[in-house]
Amino acid sequence: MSFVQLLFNGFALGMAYALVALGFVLVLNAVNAVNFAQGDLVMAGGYMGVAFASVLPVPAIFMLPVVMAAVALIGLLLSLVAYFPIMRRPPAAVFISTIAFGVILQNSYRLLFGPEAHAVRPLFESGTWELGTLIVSKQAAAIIATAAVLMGIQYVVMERTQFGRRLRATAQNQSMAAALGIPVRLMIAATFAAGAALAGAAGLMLGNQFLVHPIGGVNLIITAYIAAVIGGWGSLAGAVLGAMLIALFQVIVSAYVSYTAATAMLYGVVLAVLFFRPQGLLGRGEARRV
Amino acid sequence: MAEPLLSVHDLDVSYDQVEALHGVSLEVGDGEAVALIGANGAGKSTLLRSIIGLLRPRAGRVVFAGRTVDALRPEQRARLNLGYCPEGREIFPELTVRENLEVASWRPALKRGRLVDRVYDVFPALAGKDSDPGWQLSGGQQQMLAIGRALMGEPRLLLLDEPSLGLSPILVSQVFANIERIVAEGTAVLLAEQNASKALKICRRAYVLRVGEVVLSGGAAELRENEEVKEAYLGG
Repeated sequence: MSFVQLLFNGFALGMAYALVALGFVLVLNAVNAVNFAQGDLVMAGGYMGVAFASVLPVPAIFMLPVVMAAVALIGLLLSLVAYFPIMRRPPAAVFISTIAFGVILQNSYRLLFGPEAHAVRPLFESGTWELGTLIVSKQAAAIIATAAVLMGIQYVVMERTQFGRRLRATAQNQSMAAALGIPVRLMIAATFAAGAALAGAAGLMLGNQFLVHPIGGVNLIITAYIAAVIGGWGSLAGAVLGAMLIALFQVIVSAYVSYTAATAMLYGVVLAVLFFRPQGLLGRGEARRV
Repeated sequence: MAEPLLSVHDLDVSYDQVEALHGVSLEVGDGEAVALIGANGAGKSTLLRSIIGLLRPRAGRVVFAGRTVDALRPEQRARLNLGYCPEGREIFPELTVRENLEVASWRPALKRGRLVDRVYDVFPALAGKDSDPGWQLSGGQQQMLAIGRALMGEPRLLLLDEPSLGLSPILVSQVFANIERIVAEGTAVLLAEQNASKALKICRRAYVLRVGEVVLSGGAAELRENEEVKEAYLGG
């Protein structure tokens, strides 16, 4: 496989990772706590793709809105059972409660779908295009296009709408947002739903090549966490950049060395980033806090 | 006699076991400017935070615009046109100046834009900073933004907590001139302020808080002549 092809595949993987990381950081910013069920929500998207395909044999792209809406509802449920009842407790409590929610999801998948892995249909179709010497995966191209559209929508909603401004205001200062009339609990619940919807979309995309299985979300939450750390804790742009760098690194090093070496080296790079730039690549430290 | 816009009855507020307010009662009329004077720690901020709903009193009652608001959350109180500008400004640092303002309005985009223009008219220094993130503003600009943001909800009553804190004398004069203008345009103000001489100049009435209790109240002119007030808050 040529280096350009590796870059292309890494970029596609990075776009899907970026959706997971974006959802993770949205919730992180809104409640200042880590949602460790994010990876399991990715699997929820994949499993829904598998379930819908058995009754409606169409390309996965047509299932995308339904899957995102359904996983958003699971995200809403997550906020209702694992966040709101303990929102006044220290962030570690939320950390544990989201792990618990994730484990419940994992075991539900095992009960409903069995322990074996399943494949999601491709977004449009499988196969490749040959562009001269370059062979392009149709699924990778579809992932890049679909994720780009979703990221664009997410950007417009967050930056250009009153709803997005209120979400960001809530994330920055909950009590002040409430004192200005912003329904803080509704905003937080909406953030959990949006973060879950992005995870669900990623599950539908990744589930074709990487399959879905009950504990498949564990690696993805670690990826999202690392992306947030590398990119800059709490930075949405940083999460996308971090996810992209992780995916490119994994794909390229796996191709030239091995997947095991890629994973080990990735954590080495993370340690180096934390040592030389603890605030992450796009993080601006604490000096700007008002 | 007309019903007051805000009336607070026998408010008791505690932080854990420490009592911060005890039996506080006060009234603010429609369009009236009332000062809340007291030293640091007297309970001024606690009182304003209790009125907007950020703190839950142990006892007492808050009535705003004829409605008992004790059971309402802060966002519900704010939607009744109760504005709040906290001590320390608490602007949203990552939002631009315009976003900080827009986020506090519930009007459609066109009307919201007019409200932003009105704030820029009151605080011209903000107009040139429209697209700057909040964290880049100076302390004075942040204070103006915090007051302007509270105005975006078109409040009938504006709760202002220490608007002069940390500002240079010139900026303090500017901010107080702005508050006078806001009152002149018909918004009632409850102003918690350590700078008693400035507060008593622009307010018609005042309450003096000491260790969580109202110890004096009356007309601003009367309180300016009060020996105790002169001694404790007006530098003798």
